[in-house]
Amino acid sequence: MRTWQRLAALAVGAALLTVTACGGGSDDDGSSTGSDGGGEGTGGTFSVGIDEPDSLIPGRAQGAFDEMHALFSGLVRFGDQSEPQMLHAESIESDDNVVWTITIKPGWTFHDGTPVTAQSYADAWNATAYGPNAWANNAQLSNIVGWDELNPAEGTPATDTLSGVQVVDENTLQVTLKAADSQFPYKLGQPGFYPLPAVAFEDFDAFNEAPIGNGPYMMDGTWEHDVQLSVTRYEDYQGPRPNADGITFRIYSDTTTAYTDAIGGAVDIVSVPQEKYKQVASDFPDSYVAFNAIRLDWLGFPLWDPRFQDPRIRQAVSMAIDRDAVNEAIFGGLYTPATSYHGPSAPGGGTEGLCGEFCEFDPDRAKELLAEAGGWEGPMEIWFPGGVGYDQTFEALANQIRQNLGIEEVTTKSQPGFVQFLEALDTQQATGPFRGGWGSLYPSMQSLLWSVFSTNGDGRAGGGSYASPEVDALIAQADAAPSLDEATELYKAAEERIIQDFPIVPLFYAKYVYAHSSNVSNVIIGFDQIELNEVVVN
Amino acid sequence: MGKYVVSRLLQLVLVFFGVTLLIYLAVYALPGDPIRALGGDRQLPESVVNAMREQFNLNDPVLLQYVKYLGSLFTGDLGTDFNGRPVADLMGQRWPVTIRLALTAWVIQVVVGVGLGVLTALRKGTWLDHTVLFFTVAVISIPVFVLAYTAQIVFGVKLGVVPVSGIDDGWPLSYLLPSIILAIFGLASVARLVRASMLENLRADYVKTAMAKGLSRRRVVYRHVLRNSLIPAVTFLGIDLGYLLGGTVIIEGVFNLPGVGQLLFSSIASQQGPVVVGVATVLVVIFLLANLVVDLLYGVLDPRIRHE
Repeated sequence: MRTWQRLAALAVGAALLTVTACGGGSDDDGSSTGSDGGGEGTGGTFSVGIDEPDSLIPGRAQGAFDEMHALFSGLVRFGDQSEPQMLHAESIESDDNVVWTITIKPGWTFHDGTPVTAQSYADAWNATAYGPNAWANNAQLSNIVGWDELNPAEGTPATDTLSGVQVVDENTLQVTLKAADSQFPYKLGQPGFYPLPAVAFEDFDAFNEAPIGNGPYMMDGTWEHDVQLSVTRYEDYQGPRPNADGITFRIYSDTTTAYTDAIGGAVDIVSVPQEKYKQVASDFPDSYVAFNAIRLDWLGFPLWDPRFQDPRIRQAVSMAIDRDAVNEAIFGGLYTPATSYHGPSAPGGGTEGLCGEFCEFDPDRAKELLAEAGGWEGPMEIWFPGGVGYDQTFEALANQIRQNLGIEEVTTKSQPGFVQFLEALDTQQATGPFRGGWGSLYPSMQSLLWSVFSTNGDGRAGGGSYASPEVDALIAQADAAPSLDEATELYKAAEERIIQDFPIVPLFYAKYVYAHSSNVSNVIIGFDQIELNEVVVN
Repeated sequence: MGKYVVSRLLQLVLVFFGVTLLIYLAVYALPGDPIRALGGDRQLPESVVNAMREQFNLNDPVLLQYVKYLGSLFTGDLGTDFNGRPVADLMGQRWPVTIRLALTAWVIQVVVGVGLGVLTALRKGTWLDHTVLFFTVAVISIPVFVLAYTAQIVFGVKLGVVPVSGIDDGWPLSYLLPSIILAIFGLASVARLVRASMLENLRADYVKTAMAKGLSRRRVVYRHVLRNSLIPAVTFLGIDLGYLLGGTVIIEGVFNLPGVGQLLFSSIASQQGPVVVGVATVLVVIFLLANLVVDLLYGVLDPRIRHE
């Protein structure tokens, strides 16, 4: 359960605006008053339903994006833009995409009054990248020179600082990368790149109970585990001033309960669980928001299995799936059927029809393709982690394949949980199509393409361990591209090249759906999840 | 009697070692690498995985892990979960919630269950007897989460008489609805047990004797018949208390009560050995203690039963 929630949270964090403000939300969209401009806050407090964070230390927390954005401010933010907006950074520059100079705005302070300096960033990055700390966001820094020395395969590292991070002066950092990365400014929005105050290093466990950040809100008391955490506005915050005086994050172990609580008005903003997508419009007629996540859901294949070698087999499966029907039946029509390998929420993504006929529903052509590829014998098993919200979807997909592809025996092979499911992919034990998905932590095609389809990607198990030297070369070219536009074109070229091999069956560009009570308005969902600063308490 | 209690307590120690070892082995035997799964779709770097495996002794053979676990247990260290939270803290925070919930439910079972049992036994065959029978059967046949969600919508959202979820309002308000739902299922059994046993005893010779001696019906029923009829119900209630403490996963989830049921469930799913062993061991000990109390109660209820 936890893992699944964490994954969902990751993906939510990786979500971009493109607010398809369903239900009109007459009170939402219209009133963009009271936002930024350093105006008077409108006051009041509101509550947000969350799941128990795994940690509140930015380098360590895998979920907790809303709490993190309340307590900490990074160098850049995204809001409703798909390009990084300077938050604490003054400028982020490089001539060669290898050596980056970052200057920060002076005068910012942590909640204990100490200044946020270049050193605060360097110290935090060193701690996150230090292997023995075993912080989950360690890999976000893996392209910085010196990361390898901090993460040896065996034994303790000889040093505890990243040699590629130099503090030039109080407000200037110089970062040297192992390989050129045109998307580095995007990556700086990830929690692994947030600063930490000196006090954190005295005792991380104690710090975690009441973190002292540099964000728009500061802790009010300590983290009441499994119950709530409260924050109040930090009056010396130098960024855009938030509207509300305070926020209570109420912790739920069951998202359905949070949803019911929101109907009862006991919590103001909640993420809508998938099984409620079909009824959210009637439960919250004017107050729900669905937005395009940077998330692709797909069906992966055991590419190591000889029976799945022929791309026509995979294309046949793709054409046998009526995405619209599944979308209506399971997601209340809120998702978008995929026609490419990347959703539209990052620049260059969502190329209409890139997939061609193979993402169209055509059972006859599907059967033809299957026959051309030599047909199918025996059972086809669909793998997914059971009991964590995927059961219905994958039962439906199995039915579609059975009916439309004429394979008599299509069975679901539900695994006891995520641990066992991932093990089956890692050890290449999976014997049939399986659940795949990727939520990007920053709005660039690089995240999904590199992680899932490159030879060194950290998510390649979910893509059936696809590998192609050509794709690797295209992604590397894009990473080194002199401008963002050129990079985007090269990522698109990589995507086109991958889709020729058709390693996965793209299913949906996922959406994330939030609902809110009448106690609050101006609820905007952006890339950084809920735009907490903008929320107005009525 | 004293000797009996001491020997039972000594058995507890043996059971403690056996159970912790068994649970440790069971968690270890689950397939898959729990550390690997922490990253989800994103694989954690090798160095991070290694550091965590080292930290949680996962690279050691299982028996050595167990010995290390016991070793730190005797220094008062119950270990931590994968997020670094001490298991002692986790349990210290969650046990009180579960104990409140389970005891409230249990008391409802005792009071209402025994009450209904006595009532239906004395009014055997009347409309009251039939109505109670019908409703207990009907309620038992509804899946617990359906009943829980329905009650939550009706009493929490629509009527607003109890909180929808959470423990903000404290005991008893926050615990009332979940306790009732939890109690309903055992309640029917208690009522049935008491009813059957009462009916049997009401026909017994000693009742006739007592009546003939001129004792009031009230005194006969409550002092003699009820007391003798409680043994099956006490057996059930003793075991049921253990069940209530350990089996509240669904109710805790639906009503968002941060108790041990949820903790146990999620720790098993993420294979966090120290947490599972810690929580489960306490559960087993409570269960055994409850059974001991039940055995001692037999002697109190029925003087013919003695513990030498």
